[in-house]
Amino acid sequence: MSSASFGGYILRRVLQAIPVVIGAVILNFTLLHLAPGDPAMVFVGEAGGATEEILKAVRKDFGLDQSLAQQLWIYGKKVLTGDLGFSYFQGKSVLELILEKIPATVLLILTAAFLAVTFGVLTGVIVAQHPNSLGSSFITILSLFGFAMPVFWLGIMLILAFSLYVPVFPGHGMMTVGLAGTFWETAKDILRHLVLPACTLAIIYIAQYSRLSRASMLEVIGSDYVRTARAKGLSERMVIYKHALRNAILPILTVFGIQIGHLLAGAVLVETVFTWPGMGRLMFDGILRRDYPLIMGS
Amino acid sequence: MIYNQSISHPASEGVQPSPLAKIWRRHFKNKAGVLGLILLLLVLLTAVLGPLFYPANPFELIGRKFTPPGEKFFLGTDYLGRDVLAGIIQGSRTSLLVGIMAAGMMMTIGITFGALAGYYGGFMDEALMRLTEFFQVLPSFILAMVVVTLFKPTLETIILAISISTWTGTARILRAEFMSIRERDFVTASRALGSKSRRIIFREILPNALPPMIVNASLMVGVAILFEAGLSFLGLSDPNLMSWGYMIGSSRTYLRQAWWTVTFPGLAIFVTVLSLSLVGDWLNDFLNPKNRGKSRS
Repeated sequence: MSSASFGGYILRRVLQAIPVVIGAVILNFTLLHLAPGDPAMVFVGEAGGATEEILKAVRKDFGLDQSLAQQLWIYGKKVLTGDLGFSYFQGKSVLELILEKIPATVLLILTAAFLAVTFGVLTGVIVAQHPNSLGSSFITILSLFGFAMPVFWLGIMLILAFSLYVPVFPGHGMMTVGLAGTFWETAKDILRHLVLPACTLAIIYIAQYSRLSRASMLEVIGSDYVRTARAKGLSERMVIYKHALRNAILPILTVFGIQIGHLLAGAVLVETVFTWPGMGRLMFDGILRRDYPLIMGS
Repeated sequence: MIYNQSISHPASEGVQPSPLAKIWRRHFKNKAGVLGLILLLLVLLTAVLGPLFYPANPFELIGRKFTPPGEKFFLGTDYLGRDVLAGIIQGSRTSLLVGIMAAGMMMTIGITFGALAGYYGGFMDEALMRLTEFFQVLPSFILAMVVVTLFKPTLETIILAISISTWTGTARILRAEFMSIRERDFVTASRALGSKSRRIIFREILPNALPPMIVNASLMVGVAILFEAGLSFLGLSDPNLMSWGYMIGSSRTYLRQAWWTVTFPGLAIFVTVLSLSLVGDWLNDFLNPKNRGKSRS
């Protein structure tokens, strides 16, 4: 792929994302309005007694006395300028809170995705070379497990096994409290904390990738150019990993792109289980305290 | 399904499966289906008859806290002294109720969207599919979380939240079915006889598109149960109903003292969803004429 067409591709993708963002803003707005309760009432209620005048003043302050369309317009403008509202419980702006937590979530998701793709593709490729072996059945069983296993329960079971009974890895948090070491010591500490949550998230997705890469590899292995490569006398390893895998990887990458969003959803649960200080954890706290601005922003 | 179809031909030609693998496969497929049916029946019986045979109240503080599984309490008690077995039995009712209702609702939404888009095509298809794609891009579990948080967590809102965040797959499958079936001769014949669109959609095409929908339904009940478990694990459950996810979520802080309060409800979720997906796979082999010969060979 030439770089020009790649740039064009990226641009197209970004342009395609715009309606999604607009849709998300409208959806958020609609949900907020459908929710029962008068927001002005809630706000005033938390501060103490509410008279009719105060209510009116608050409504005016928040622009709640204007028409729905106008409110939507204002909300949209605010989101675009990065103003996601203010979390009264945490005393910080929502954007600030989210930016604080993003790195931890990204670290978790990317590690999990890396593990899932690596192991998934590897097992898929190996099994594809022996399509009727027991390995195929193994992948089928694995994907059944991956589908039926509640991710948060798997996390808890891993804590039970590897953190309580055989204490190899820490089961909560991202760093040892009070640790003040060099950069490498800190990195090592985070890595040790990362093992269980990342594995939990990865295990659920490994089977999907191995199924997909098995299917995709089988298709490619049957094609003419692979036969040509074999006929040229290349070693089997060369044929599989250099020629076949390169083409078989495309659908896997596509699915990977779609999966990232789902990983984020899984991360909410996994972060809650492991008290991992990321966005999922932030949302969970938001739910506990009914902190609407925070949840909507996330 | 489609993948299996397209890939098994070029690859399995010439490669003879080992006898062991052959035996394993022939029996695994059917046995897995039977196992799924048995497990599902067990769960259904627990939900329907359980409270009759074991009428304990799962919210009642009935014994000493952290009683390990044993004679007095078969699955032990939790941090408040509540009976875990009673919780599992009541939870099976909640899970199945939410699972079936939510799956029913999401199928209704998905079938409506898929049928309209697939039958009419053109602008209708374009508009509906854009909307579907939009919902597909949103992380569905997070959408469900937001909806349940904004409206109070009751049985109805949980069912609603799950169904509006998971209908997209159904819509896409049905749309594809409709697009292929609407070109068949019997549909043209019906149209030539002067049938109205509504008749063609409901009487001609939909019945023929049902097999994949039935398979989809069994998987979707599983998905809905997992969603419900995840939501109630986060504390988003109907406070009047005992639920497996809630049991795990509320007891997990006491993991060190009482592993059983967390392990058994999780096993219950796992077994239920596993049975549904096994039955789904089995139905797929059974209902899909393209696979019928394959699974028996």
